[in-house]
Parts: sequence; C-alpha cells; structure tokens
Amino acid sequence: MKKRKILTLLLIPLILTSCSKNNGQLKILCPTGGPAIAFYKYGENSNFETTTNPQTSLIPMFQTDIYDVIVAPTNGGLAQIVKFNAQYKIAATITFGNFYIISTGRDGNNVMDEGDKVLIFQEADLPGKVFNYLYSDLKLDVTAVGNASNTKNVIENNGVLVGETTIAFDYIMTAEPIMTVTKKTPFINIQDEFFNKTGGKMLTQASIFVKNSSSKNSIDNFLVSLENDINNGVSDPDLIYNEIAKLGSNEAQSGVFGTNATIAKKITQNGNGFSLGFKRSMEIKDDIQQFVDLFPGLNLGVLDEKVFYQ
Amino acid sequence: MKKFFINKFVLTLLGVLVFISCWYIIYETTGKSNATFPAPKATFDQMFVYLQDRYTYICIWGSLYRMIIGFLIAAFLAIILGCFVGNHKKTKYVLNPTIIAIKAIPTAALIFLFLRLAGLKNAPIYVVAIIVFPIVYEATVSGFNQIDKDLINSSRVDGGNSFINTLMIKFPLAFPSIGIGLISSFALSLKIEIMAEVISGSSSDGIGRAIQNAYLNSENGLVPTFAYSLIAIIVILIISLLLFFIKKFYKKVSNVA
Repeated sequence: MKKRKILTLLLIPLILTSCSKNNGQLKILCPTGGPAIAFYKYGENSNFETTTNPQTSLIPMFQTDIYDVIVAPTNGGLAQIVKFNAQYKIAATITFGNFYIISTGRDGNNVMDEGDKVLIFQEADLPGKVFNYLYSDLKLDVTAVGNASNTKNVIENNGVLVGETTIAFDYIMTAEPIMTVTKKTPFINIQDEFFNKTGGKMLTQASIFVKNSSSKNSIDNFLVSLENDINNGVSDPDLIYNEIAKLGSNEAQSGVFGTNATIAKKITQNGNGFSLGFKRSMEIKDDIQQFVDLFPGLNLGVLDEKVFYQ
Repeated sequence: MKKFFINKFVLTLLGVLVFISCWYIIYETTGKSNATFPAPKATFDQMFVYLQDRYTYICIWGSLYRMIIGFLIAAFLAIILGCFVGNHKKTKYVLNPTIIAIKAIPTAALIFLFLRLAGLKNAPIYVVAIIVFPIVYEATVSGFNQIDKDLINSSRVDGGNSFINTLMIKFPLAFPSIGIGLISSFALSLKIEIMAEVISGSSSDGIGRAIQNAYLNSENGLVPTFAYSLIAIIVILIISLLLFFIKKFYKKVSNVA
C-alpha cells in the first residue's frame, strides 16, 4: 500500500503535465515560419504549439503519441513513417517552398554562373538538395551554413561570412521571412525553377501528418477548416494580420509564429511569399514522390498507399 | 562597518563600469556592427523598450512558473530521499551510482529525453527537476551527517520513534544545510530553464523563447537578443540577491545552532 502511494506521488508531475492533453481538441505541433502562418487562427489555442527547432524538437515527436497533428518537412515526416514505423499518415501539403536566391551585387555579369560564390543553408536537407538538383551543373563555388537564420547574419553583413576564412558572396540562398526581414528582393524564385525543371511538379515542402489513432471525424473537420483558413488568408492577407495581431506585441506574435503580423502580411501580399496552399496528399501523390526522390539517401522508394491519409 | 559597506558598494559599481567598458571596447574593435556584436547603448535602449512590453513579463513569469514547478518537485523528492538516506547511511552507497549518473549526464541529453517523454512545453520542468535533485539530495544527506550524534542518542533515550525524531529533531537541525542546497540550486534552475527553452524551441512563453525569437527576427543584429539576455541577467540578479540574504539568515541560524 505504501509502495503504491509513493509511486502515485512520483507520477503526480507526469499526470499533471499530461492533463492539458485531452480537452477534446487536437494537439498540434508545427514549425515556425510559413507552416505556422497557415495556422494564423490558432495563435491563442493552447493545443497549438510551434517550435523553431524542427530537427531537434519536431521530428522526434513522431515516435511519441503526444501530438495528433504534426506539421513537418514532407521528407522528414515520410521518413519517420516509412523507415521508423511512426504511427502517422500524410494528409495534406500546406507550404510549397519559401526559398529564394538574393544577389549581393558583387557579381559583375549579374548571372549566377561558373565560379560565382554562393551561400546556401542546410546542405544535407531540403534547401541543399533542391539547390543541388537545380544548379549542380553550374560549377558554382558553394559554401553551406547550418540553417536559414545563419544566412541572415551574412545578409546583414553585406554578404560577407566572417569565420576561419572570410568569404564575400555573390549570391545567397535564403528563405522567407528572412528575405523580407532583411529587406531584400528575390533574384531567383527557387519554387519557380523547380516547377520548370520538373515539368510542373510542386515543391511539397511542409505537410500535415495525422496520428493514426486520432478520431477520423476530428481530423476531417480540422482539415476542412484549415483549408478554408489558408485559402481565405492567401486571398485576404489582412485576415492573417488581424488574427496574428491579437497576440499583442511583435515579440509575442513572433513567439508563436516565428514572425510578426506585419511581416506575415507583407510576405503573403508579396506573391504569397510563403507559398501557402492546401493540397490533399492523395491528389498530389506524384508531386510528393518526385519530392522524396530528391533525397536518394533516405531510401524511401515508391511510397505505399498506406502512408497517405484518406 | 558602514565604511566597509560603502567600499563594497563602490567596488561593485566599479565592476559594473569595467564590464560596460569592456563591452564597449569589444564593440569598437569588432567593427561597430550590431550584426556581429551588439552596441551597449542600443542594447540598453532596447531593454528599456522590452521592459515596457507586457509580453516580457509574461515570458519572465512563464519561465519562473515552469522553473518553480520543476524546482519544487525536485526539492520535495530530494529532501524525502535525503532524510531516508540520512537515517540509513548504508543506503547511500546503493544510491550513489544513480546520483553520480544524474549529475554527470549532459543537460542537452536530458532535454532530448524529456522532449519525447513530456512534450515541448513540459520538458524544461523535468530538466530543471533532474538538475536540482542531486544538489538538494546531497545537501540534505550532508545536513543529516553533521547532526551531533549525542543529541540523537539522547532523543532515543527519551523514547521518540524514528519518524518523530527525523521530523522534529533531525530535520530542523539539518535544515540550514538543506536551505543552502536549495538556495544554490535555485538561481541555477532559471539558467537551466532558459537553456531548455532555447533547445526545445517551444512556443511556450518564456525568456529562452524570447531570446531565440529576438535572434531570429531581429532587424538590428544581436541587439534584441542581448536586450532580452540583460533582462534575464536582471531577473537572476534579483533572485540571487534575495537568496543571498536568505542564505545569510540561514548561516546565522546555523551558527547559533
């Protein structure tokens, strides 16, 4: 009896912290930036969490049953399902690439060609893979940094990377919202280049993965509602602004979405810079297959029907 | 005595001046760019802007709240276990490997572990608890070890049972040592909390999250990041100051005992 009491006592914090989990709503985890903006109506929802560190804090969550919905890089989420048997299915893609190349103005001929110094980020992940897929034959002098936020420092430093060897770049690959925050304009829209080179395939960057054991009814309602939100937000960026602004100061807004209402509105107005959209995975299976084929190291092969939510 | 206090105060002020001067010199010598090193004035200005924002206080509260939960869980369990080990000294050897392992395990690994066990929002609570636990446990055991054996023997002669003796005699006698353990780990807890928030990248309001977002969204280089860091320093300073006075009080009590 005593032992049971002690065990109960030890489990109290675990029980307390997991109490917030089941209040009828879906528990959602999403990376900040473009994908989070799609959830602009969820800012005050206590079941909606975002993270700035997808590799550390989001992908491992596929191996737990904490979240009903995880918004993840399509390749990362599918790898968890196919290779590690994560109990999730891919339901829809909501961002279709927010990568851009900006010019620092150093390149004399203003054409990205042989020998030009280019800074990219996440070489082993989607940005690097897409860049290599598009430009590996140009014989560029490429340097990679860890993530998009590292490119921000270089852009702010007039395109100069200070390190063991100082490099002045001709072009920098970056992502929204960094391009808007640093007040730069795109030299190349990578999404368009990808679309052209693949003969009309979309860059299925971030997708919604739903937990197998979650209520189908709740998931279906959630997907319909999110599709409406995204479509409405893209056609009327003021909606995005107003919802995000409800959180208060810019810092509070960035705390949840990774960017503030003004910048989110500006990027959406500027040709839907986050490439927000909503496509059911079943409808774009070929695009998703083409996308995962960019990552031969993942060995995902031909995607099985059972990874798609129906 | 008064003269000494004034001197100490003046020396502390001088220390602050030296700190700000060093900061300014580094800023001047690293190219006067906020992108590589934040300017002191701009950082202080930004800090005052943040201090007028409600979100800053929400973040401070968020971090303190999670930290206190973690701290209390750890303190409660560590004191109970410490009392038990203090009464049954040989059990210390059984528990030692576990305590050493808990102390030695890298904090980052703990964060990854608790991210999976408890989710992003709650992981920092457990990380704080795991870091605080061995400190308070060892302070409790050490407090029990320092109790005068004659006093314990005389209480046995008086016929008190083990539980009553622990609660009414040993625990109050060991409390100055426990108190010092609690105080030492309290300020550390906040640092751990902030670090855990940064690593998890969770959207839960907290100083760590504010620091990280300031870094990612800044239009003025590192200035906002360090403005929030200054706020974190002020919070830790206030807590440390409060704890310093409490520590002083306990030392006094300890000496009297």
